[in-house]
Amino acid sequence: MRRPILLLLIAVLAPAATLAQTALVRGFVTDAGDGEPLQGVNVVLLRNGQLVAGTASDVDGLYALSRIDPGVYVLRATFIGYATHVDTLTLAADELRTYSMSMRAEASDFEEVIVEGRREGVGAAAVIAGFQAVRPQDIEMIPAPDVSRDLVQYISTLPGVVTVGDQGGQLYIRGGEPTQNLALIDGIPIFQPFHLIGFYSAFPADIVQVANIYAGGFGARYGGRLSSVLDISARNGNKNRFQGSVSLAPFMSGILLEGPIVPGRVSLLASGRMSVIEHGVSRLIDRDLPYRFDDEFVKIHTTLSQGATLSVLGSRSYDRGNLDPEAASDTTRNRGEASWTNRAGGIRYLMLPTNIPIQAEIVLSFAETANVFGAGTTARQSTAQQFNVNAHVTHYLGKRELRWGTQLSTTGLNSRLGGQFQNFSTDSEYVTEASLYMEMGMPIATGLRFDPGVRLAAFPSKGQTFLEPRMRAVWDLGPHRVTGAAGVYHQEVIGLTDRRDAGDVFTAWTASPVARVPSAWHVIAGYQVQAAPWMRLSLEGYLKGLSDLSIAGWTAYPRFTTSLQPATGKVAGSDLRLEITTGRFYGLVNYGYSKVVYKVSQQAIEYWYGTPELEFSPPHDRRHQVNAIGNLKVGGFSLSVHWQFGSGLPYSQSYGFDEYLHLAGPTGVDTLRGETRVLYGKPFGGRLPTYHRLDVSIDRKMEVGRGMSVTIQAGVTNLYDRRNPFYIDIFTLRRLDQLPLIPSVGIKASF
Amino acid sequence: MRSLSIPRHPVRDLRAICAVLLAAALPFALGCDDTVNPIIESDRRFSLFATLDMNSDQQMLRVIPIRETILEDPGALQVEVRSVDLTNGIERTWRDSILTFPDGLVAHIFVTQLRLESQHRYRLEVLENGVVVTFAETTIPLRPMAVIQPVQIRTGSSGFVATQRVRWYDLPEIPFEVTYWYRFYSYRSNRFENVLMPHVPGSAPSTEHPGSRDFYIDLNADRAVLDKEYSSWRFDPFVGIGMTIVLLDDAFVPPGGKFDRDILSQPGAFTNVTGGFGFVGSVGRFSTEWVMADSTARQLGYRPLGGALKAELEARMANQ
Repeated sequence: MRRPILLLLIAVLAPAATLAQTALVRGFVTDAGDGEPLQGVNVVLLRNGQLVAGTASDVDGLYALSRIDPGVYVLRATFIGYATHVDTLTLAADELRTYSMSMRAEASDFEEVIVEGRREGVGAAAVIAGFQAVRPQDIEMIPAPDVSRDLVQYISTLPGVVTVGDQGGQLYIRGGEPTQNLALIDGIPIFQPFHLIGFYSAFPADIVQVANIYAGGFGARYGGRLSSVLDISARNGNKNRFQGSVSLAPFMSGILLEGPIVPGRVSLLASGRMSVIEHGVSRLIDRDLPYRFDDEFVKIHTTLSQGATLSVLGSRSYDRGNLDPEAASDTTRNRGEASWTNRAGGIRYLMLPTNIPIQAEIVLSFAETANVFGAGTTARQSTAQQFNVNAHVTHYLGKRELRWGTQLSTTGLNSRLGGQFQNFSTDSEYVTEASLYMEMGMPIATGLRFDPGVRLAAFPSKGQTFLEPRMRAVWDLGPHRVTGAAGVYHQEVIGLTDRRDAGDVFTAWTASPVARVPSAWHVIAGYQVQAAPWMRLSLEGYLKGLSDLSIAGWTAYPRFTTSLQPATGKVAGSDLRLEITTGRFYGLVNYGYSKVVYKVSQQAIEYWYGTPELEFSPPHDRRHQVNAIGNLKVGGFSLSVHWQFGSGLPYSQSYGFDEYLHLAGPTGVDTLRGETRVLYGKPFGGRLPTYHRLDVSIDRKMEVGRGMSVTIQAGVTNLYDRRNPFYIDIFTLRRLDQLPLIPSVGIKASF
Repeated sequence: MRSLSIPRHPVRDLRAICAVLLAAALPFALGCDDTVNPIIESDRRFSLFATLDMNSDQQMLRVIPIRETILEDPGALQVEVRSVDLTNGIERTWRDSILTFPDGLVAHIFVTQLRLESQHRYRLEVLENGVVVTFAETTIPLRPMAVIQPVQIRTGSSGFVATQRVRWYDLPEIPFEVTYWYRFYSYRSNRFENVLMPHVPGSAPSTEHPGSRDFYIDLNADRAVLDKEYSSWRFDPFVGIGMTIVLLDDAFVPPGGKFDRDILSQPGAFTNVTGGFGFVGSVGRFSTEWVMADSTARQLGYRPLGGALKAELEARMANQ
């Protein structure tokens, strides 16, 4: 154990010595209008008109140019849509210069900002080994039932992302389960960020600056999850003037306010949304939709100095509803209302130390989730409370970057499951995870970048420590790009759900019951080509292996007698994306193939199916997916169309029902009532019908006064009224469908 | 990091793209079947449960129709149930008897008067419209025979060791259940009292006779049990010892050797029913009882039964 840590320390400290006699320039780039950080600004140093060094600002607007020889330089910062910033800098030997700048938008180039940015991972077809960056303007291309867009509306259009439909609020990313996804906002984790209605999450588009999605193969910075990472950078509030918006729509209505607390230095951004679906859409379609959900978000951002910022963030989301209201009165099946609440908060401190050539980031955070299913003494409950301390340090080594950091988290888990997941009828436990990571950003040849990394993850409660190698690579060959990623991952705190029943959205958070910490490995390989200036095509293949999973076991008794069984999983898939971007039209067609297979080796499997191991497709194994998206801007209108198709999801069929009499020897059959059981066929042996739907929306923004505008949106969800099944209640043969054709009109006033 | 300037492109290209998209979408929009059938098409019609009992003159079979929903009321059963003794071809029709449990569940229990023959194979059939749709078969256990061996007494430094060996012939590998008891004549109640031993006697396959099994009763150890369970054993006359063996038919063996409800309830885990689910088995209980020699009983500290009562009892056992 000592040797890897020693090697890490040497690796971290040694590069600092090599900086002697050279200078470093770093700082933040912000928008002069609202103080927002600008990502992707090209910052270069010129000497006698010759390029000496160059870089691009990151999501915090931070840039750094290192290993600069002493001398006089011209610093030039350019960004499409903004006036070029030019200054002369005289750099001395060993100088660490912090130089932050504000850039002014230029109206003449503003239109171009929309299509700017073949920045890394920006654009649906510019996926880099599972990584994709999503901006608010990307989200606006997707038709939505609401004038205020939401990040999940975009994510759910990505190939490899499976939802159970427009109800349920679960995302399966490239074969991973919802609880295997890490969701972060400004580095603060949120356990279950997706609302019951699949159009919404805790992340309205209005608060998102950029969302970095790693569908797999994520780097050493991230840990504690097996499948994917959703790393969101929230916008800062406007530091110069107050502004906001109010929106009304039949699904969800909201308000957003932002403005300076201390002009130019401290800003506030606050957002609140509340569902109105119970009284809005429900009346439109004359169907009971007993859902309620809301979310609130607050962020205070402070520029402490030229080289330091501090932000304080709080987030809350709440969901309550019954996905099968008709079954609510069925006491034999304990179908009830489910609810979950997320609370998260934290402090993020970003600094450029005056005397050390590094960037440092410290995040202290708290995250909590509480799940409840049912009511009264029989209610199932599960809560998870997590405290995190994260530190990230970046060393600038010329064109290379050395990044390292540490994470310490402790999670309190409490559950009262009343019989479900028998191993955990009532439980209370604490789980601690400590990690240390290091990764290197290494441009090793023209166009070739290789980012190796390693994460040392310790799980003291299981007495296990793992070295997790990670790797990401990009190779640009003119219009062609080849990408790759691989990694090993572990996750001790897991979420248990009864996957036999799509209507049961209750999640129990617990420490993994198996002796070994669940693990996964990912391998991704991709190719993309800029076939024309307006067209990009990408193809990506991926493999994932999952070990030491815990999934709901099978019994013949409906629900509540569920125990757990160990499982392994394999995922293989590929994505094909074609993206077209012209001045007024945006089009995206993607196809995703995915095959997910779980294998269980429970002792009883042999008795039941005659084989010692059973392979099956879990209920999120959507083999084929197609999304076609079009957006056209014409005459001041923005018209969006989205057609989605998904092959049928697996579900368990049955032969029917009977009563089971437990004949354990000489027993009279007249004295036993017997227990009603489901005569299940092979698990998940059936497939639901294909899912497809066409959504359209049109919106227009109108300036109505000084600094005020009104956006009106009209749309239709499920235009041709496809009867997409949500799930079949196998106990009553009742079928619950996804949402039918829903017309909607929304209005948003911005000031 | 690269920035590309994106030129505006004529709208005519877009028309072609849109046309292709719509053409691709149309078949799905118009032609996809959205029906779901969660029930597996099958010829399994009924679940049958029965434990045919060699020791009873009346046999019972529970017939449960396999229904499509949990809430469905199965209603009346329009079926005929019969048994066929496959050994001699004798058929017998069973009659339906409806039993309603306190929660309203209606059970159809078919009964018949039938004395089962050892080693005979019976088929129980459910017929709809005169056609057999579900059936199960069971072979009645072989009737074993017990031989009581003399009590073995060995004297050592710490006293004597007394063992009673009982040999059962024609036993299956391991019987389902073996119990034994001591019988006393209680002066207090003026009747015989059986004291059931809480443990199973030690057993081993017989080395002298393949197919038979010896059971060993530790007579010394049992006295300590009697001290707790029947404190007047030193005063009440000791009548004898008895042993009962319960045998199940050869198919009545759960997978894994354990009657685990969660495992066995899974459809298909433990069934011998064709055209349905459930299990039909058969059982037999076999007992033997013997009187210990007076001298041996005295040596063990018992008070032997004497006089007319003993003679009567011995005569009764001789007739068994």
